[in-house]
Amino acid sequence: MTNPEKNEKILADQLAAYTDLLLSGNTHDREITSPVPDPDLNTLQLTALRLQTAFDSGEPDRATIQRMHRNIIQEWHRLEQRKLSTIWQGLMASFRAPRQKWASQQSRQRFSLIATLTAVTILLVMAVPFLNTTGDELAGTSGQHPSLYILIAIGALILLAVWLMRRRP
Amino acid sequence: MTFHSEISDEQLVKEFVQGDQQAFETLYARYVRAVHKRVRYVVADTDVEDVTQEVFVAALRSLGSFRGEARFSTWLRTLTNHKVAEYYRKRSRKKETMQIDLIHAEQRGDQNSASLWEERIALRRALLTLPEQYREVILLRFAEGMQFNKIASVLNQNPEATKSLFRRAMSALRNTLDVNDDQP
Repeated sequence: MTNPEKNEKILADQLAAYTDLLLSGNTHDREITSPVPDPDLNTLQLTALRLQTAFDSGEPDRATIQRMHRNIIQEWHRLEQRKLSTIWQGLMASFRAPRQKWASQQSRQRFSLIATLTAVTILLVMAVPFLNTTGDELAGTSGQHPSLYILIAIGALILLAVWLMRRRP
Repeated sequence: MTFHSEISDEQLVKEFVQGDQQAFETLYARYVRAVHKRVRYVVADTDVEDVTQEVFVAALRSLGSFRGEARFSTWLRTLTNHKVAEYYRKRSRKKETMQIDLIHAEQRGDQNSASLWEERIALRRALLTLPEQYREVILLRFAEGMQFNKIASVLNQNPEATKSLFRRAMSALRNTLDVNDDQP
């Protein structure tokens, strides 16, 4: 160990020993623990003393500790409530989001068209068994099938209705 | 029958996460003074209570994510440091807060009290300008009253290195105080 290192170690040990004494309450003065007066050590001891003196008092009393505890629990409950309501709002927003998209002009038109086509198709499929394709009952109509015309007319009407009811931008 | 006072911090955290609120009461009772004192060394007197409360509220909210990789006391200390940093970030009014402190002291009209408050302000200001490892070793010894052997284990150092770090930290503090004292 070189001389400066040795000095550094001695200084560190002496300051540590002084701080231990100071914080244990065994020294209240600028007590110098070094047998040889060392100005560097003295100023460091003084700094330690300043720290200890400035913050020595002021530990929270029982009432303060209890009050802080009440506030902490209250604030925690409040934040947890807010977190729950935020989760709930997020959930609701996730449901609302598709509806907003749905509400756009293009989507609404597309949906109307698809819904109408689906309705007409279902109507036609359901009506097929009842269609009289032989034309027996309406002889003299030169092979035409009036039920089919009615269905086509209904479909066209629905399409027209949807087209008219659509919202214009 | 097991009393909470006999249970380790980490076990108390587990019990709290499982719904035992009493476990938090024990942790709070164990650490409130240490946290309060640490905060007091670096935050204006008028805000110490608020910041201490914020530390424990944050602890309550994040205890569920405590994995036990570090000791609870280390985790709480880190949380306290974050809250103090957040306090200064939020306000960005270090000087303003310290001036308010001084005004309060003057309003009391007590000369001794005013000079003590002024001294605290000077020391806080100096502590806050120190590098983190210097500030930490000083706070562990003064605010938490930890012995050097214990500080060495917390910092993963040998006691000699810790004492040397402490000496350098105190030198830096003294120099900063000297510079600040010379300023008008």
